[in-house]
Formats: sequence, C-alpha cells, structure tokens
Amino acid sequence: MHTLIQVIIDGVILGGFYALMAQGLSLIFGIMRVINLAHGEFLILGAYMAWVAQEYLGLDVLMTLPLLIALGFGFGWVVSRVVIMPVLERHELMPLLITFGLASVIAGLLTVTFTTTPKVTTAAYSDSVISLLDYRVSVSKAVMLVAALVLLTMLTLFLNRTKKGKAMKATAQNREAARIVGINVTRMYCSAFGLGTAVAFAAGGLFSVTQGFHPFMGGLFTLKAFVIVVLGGGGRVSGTLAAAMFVGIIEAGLSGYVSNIGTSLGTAAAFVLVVVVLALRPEGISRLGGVRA
Amino acid sequence: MPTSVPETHTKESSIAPGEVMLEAAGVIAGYGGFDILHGIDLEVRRGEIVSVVGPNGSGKSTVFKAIYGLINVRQGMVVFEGENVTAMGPQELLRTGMAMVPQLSTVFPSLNVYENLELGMYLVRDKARVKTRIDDIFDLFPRLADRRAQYAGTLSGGERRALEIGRSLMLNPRMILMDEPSVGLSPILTKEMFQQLRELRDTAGITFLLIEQNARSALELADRGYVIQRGLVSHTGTGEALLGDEEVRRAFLGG
Ligand SMILES: Nc1ncnc2c1ncn2[C@@H]1O[C@H](COP(=O)(O)OP(=O)(O)OP(=O)(O)O)[C@@H](O)[C@H]1O
Ligand SMILES: [Mg+2]
Repeated sequence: MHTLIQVIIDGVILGGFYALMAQGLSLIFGIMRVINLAHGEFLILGAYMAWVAQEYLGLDVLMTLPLLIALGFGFGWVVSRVVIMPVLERHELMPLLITFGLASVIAGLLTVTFTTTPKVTTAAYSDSVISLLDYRVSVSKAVMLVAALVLLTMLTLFLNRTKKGKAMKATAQNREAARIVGINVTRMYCSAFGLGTAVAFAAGGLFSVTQGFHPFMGGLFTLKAFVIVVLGGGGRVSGTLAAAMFVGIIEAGLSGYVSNIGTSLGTAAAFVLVVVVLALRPEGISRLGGVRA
Repeated sequence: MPTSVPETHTKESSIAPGEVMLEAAGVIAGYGGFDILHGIDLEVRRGEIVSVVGPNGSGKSTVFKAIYGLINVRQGMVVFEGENVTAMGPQELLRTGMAMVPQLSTVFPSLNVYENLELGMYLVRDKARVKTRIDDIFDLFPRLADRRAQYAGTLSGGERRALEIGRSLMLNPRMILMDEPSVGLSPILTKEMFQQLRELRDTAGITFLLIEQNARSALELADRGYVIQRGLVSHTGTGEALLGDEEVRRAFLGG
C-alpha cells in the first residue's frame, strides 16, 4: 500500500512534466501539421541553458524560467522561419526529415560543448525534501509539477482567451479563411513553433534540477511526447494531461516495484505503449493535435 | 504587426458614384506555372452590383483569387480606386477597403459566432470598436445574434453564409468580392440574401462583385454581368442584355 501511494505521487509528478512537454509538441502539430522530431532535443537544450545560467550567472532555475521561455520562443521562431517554412509547402516528409536532422545537430553540438558527462542543475532547494507521513517528495520535483501546471494553464488561457491565441487556432482550423481576414499565416506558424519550443525549453529547465541529463536523452523524450499526444486524443489539454499522468504512473510503478532495472523498464514501457496505442487507436495519429478548446 | 487601419471608410470615398472602382486589365494567372486565366479584362463601378457567371471550371474563382492576391498575377494589372494593387495580399487589400467571401465555407468551426466576427476585425486593435461593430452586424443579422455563443461548425448552411458575410462587413469595406454566396441556400434564402446585398449597396454604399452559379437570378440582381469561359471574358453587358442574348441563353440559361 505504501509503495502504491508513493508510486502514484511520483507518477503524477512525472506526468505533470510529461504533460507540459507533450503539449508543446501537440501545439506545433496542431497548428502547423508538423511533427517536430527535435522536440526532445529542444527540451535538453533548455536543460543545458538552465544549467549554464546557474553555473555561470548564478541564476536560480525559477528565475531563469522567463528567460528560457523567451529564448525558446526566439530560437523556435528562427528555426521555423529559416528551415521549416521553406519546405512546408513541399513534400510532407520534408519537415520530418529537417527536424530529424536538427535533432542530431543539436545533440552533436551539445556533446562538443558540454561532453557526454551528465550534468544536473542545482537550485537553492535542490537538497530539500518534503516528508508527509511516510511519503517523500523532493522539492525540486514538487516545483516542477506546480510550474508545469501553471504553464499549461497559461498556455490554455492564451489559446482560448487572447486575440493572438484565437487567431492561432483559427489559422489551424482554416488557413485560407485566416488569410482572408488578414492573418499573416507564416507569422502565425512561426509563432506556434516558437511557443512549442518555449514550452520545451521551460520543461527542460524544470527537469534539469530533478535529475542528471546528457545530450542524447532527447530522442526518448520525443518518443514519449508523441505517445502521450496520440494517447490523449490530440489537442485538448485535459486529454494530454490525463495521458501524461497515465504514462507517468506506469513508469513510476515499474521503477517502484521492479528494483534495479525498473528505470530502464519504464523506458521500455514507453516503446511498448507506442505499439499498443497504435494498435488500439490507429486513428489517434490522424486526429493528432487538432487544436481545440 | 497591423499598423494603420483606416477608420470607417464606407461613406467617404475619393471615387464618385459611377466612376470605375476596380479594374482588371489583361490578367493572366494560374496555378503552379499553368495559366488558367488568359487575359481577363473587367471593371466595376462604384455602387454597382456586378455578376460573374460561367461554366464550372472556367476560372471564375481564379479571377477572384488573382484580384485578392491569393495567387500571383503573372501578367496584367489590378487597380482599385486608382491604386495599383496587383501585388497586394489580403492583409493590405483589407486595409484598403476590399473584402472577400470565398467559395468554400470559411468560418472557423471551433470558434463561436462572436469570435468569428471578432476575427473579421483582426487588423483593428481597439476592442471597443470591434464590440460596437459586432453589435452593428448583429442588428443586420438578428439570427446570428441569437447564436453568438454557438460554435460556427454547428451552424446551418444559411447561418454560416450570413456569418461569413457579416465577418466580411466587419472592417466596413467599400467593396466586397463574393464567390457563390448562394451555394447551398434554398431559393427563398437565396432571394433573401440577394435582397440583403441590394440593401447593403443602397444603404451602406457597398459595391459588389459576385460570382453566381445560378446565372439567371444573378443576372437579374446585377446591374452588369460578365460571362467567363475557359479563362476569358466571352460576353459582357447589362444584366438584362445578357439575359436577352441568344448565345448566352443557349449556353447557360437552358434556352
Ligand atoms: N489550387 C489549385 N491548383 C491547381 N489548379 C486549380 C486550383 N484551383 C483551381 N484550379 C483549376 O483551375 C481551373 C479553374 O478553377 P476555378 O475554381 O477558377 O473555376 P470556377 O469557374 O470557379 O468553377 P466553379 O463554378 O466550379 O466554382 C479548374 O480547372 C481547376 O481545376
Ligand atoms: Mg468557383
């Protein structure tokens, strides 16, 4: 019983992080119809940015978060403007190949710059643990969950309540009509890609305090984000959140009950989930990420 | 970023009634390097309702896309109120006072009626002005007012058309291009809609260029008409004259 509750706590925390990460991928797909295969690398890039800010500027992760979001937005905007927009109208595989290439480039550059030795960002609260009854949660993970939920809420409010957000959804729903009312579609696409990247950077920053990371972790994150978005039925934040919690709890369960190899089993579980999800809900792919309120 | 948007333009225009407002001269355009239009000439005078008719696939919608900057004009010129607008896209044309309602349903299905109308004034930042304008549109289309919170995707065909027309009116255009506004509407609703367009012309002074599938009622409504065949204007004249033309009758009006 004790283990079960601890597993659920750990799973929910992991799930909150996954939800944030997946929503970034889902946003980009929902608006632009581009599957960003570099999403996980973007996240890791964000983690390294947070590490650099901490190491060289002495900035705490929570203070870095707005900076990470701004950097991520700018980076994503430029990447989409320079390498994705030019191929968007061509074959639909082109963006896929481009982002796949981008992923290797980022992992390579990170290796050259930071080596493959895992890094972990420290924060003022790095060593603190919340103990309640018999259950333990590290403060850095609790911070990650709360920040992820806050950011998800802000993203949802942006899309549903603000003029720019509505214009973004409108562009996804009908590109031709968006042009007719004077929306600059290219700019909307770049903003969507920027926003999705900003979310990945933020998720990476929060993650960087909770465990060690290295340049080659990105692919796995991309895969998990993809599984969650498909499982969540696409687009709706509530669906993504539920799917992310599900994946988080399964993973926490495997590492909680199966000692030693548990963590890698959790990883393997993601692969199994891809297969299961695709077998049970093949339509999930085509409906992936329609941006709905 | 949207910069300057003209204030309500409807009434005051540099163009006097009856003067040429829109002119297309020798427009050649098409898709992917393949020409569909082979030199279209047409003009619309201020305050007119002009109908464009012709067989399916003859290039009617393509004419609108070329005028509205949705496709490239490879050769020729489009002039609106004395300004060369050939290279302008929708955003600039909206600012200049021209709106368009495309052929296919172009509401935003997962946004509600109110939000759809808001986006019609995407280029305007002043929220109060947008709100006032939406109230005007609701006065014009009371059926939309009742459904302000309904998703546009769940509206009936007629309501959708009304929403699209309402949205195109948001920026107070002086001219509207409408591609088959009656598509999917019953004859009664079509008549009502045509009546409404005529009223808009008479009260708000809006000039209309319409494409219509139903050539007879379109030419009855219009002051003048153009018949387009295989990417060229084959006939032009007053609505009456075209309705009376032997050749046109045989080709489009069933004898
Ligand atoms: N996006 C496009 N890409 C390639 N060809 C196109 C495209 N849109 C239209 N065409 C072609 O251009 C020609 C003219 O099409 P257009 O839509 O202008 O006809 P239309 O007169 O409006 O017909 P309808 O009465 O059926 O609406 C057609 O042969 C059509 O197949
Ligand atoms: Mg057409």
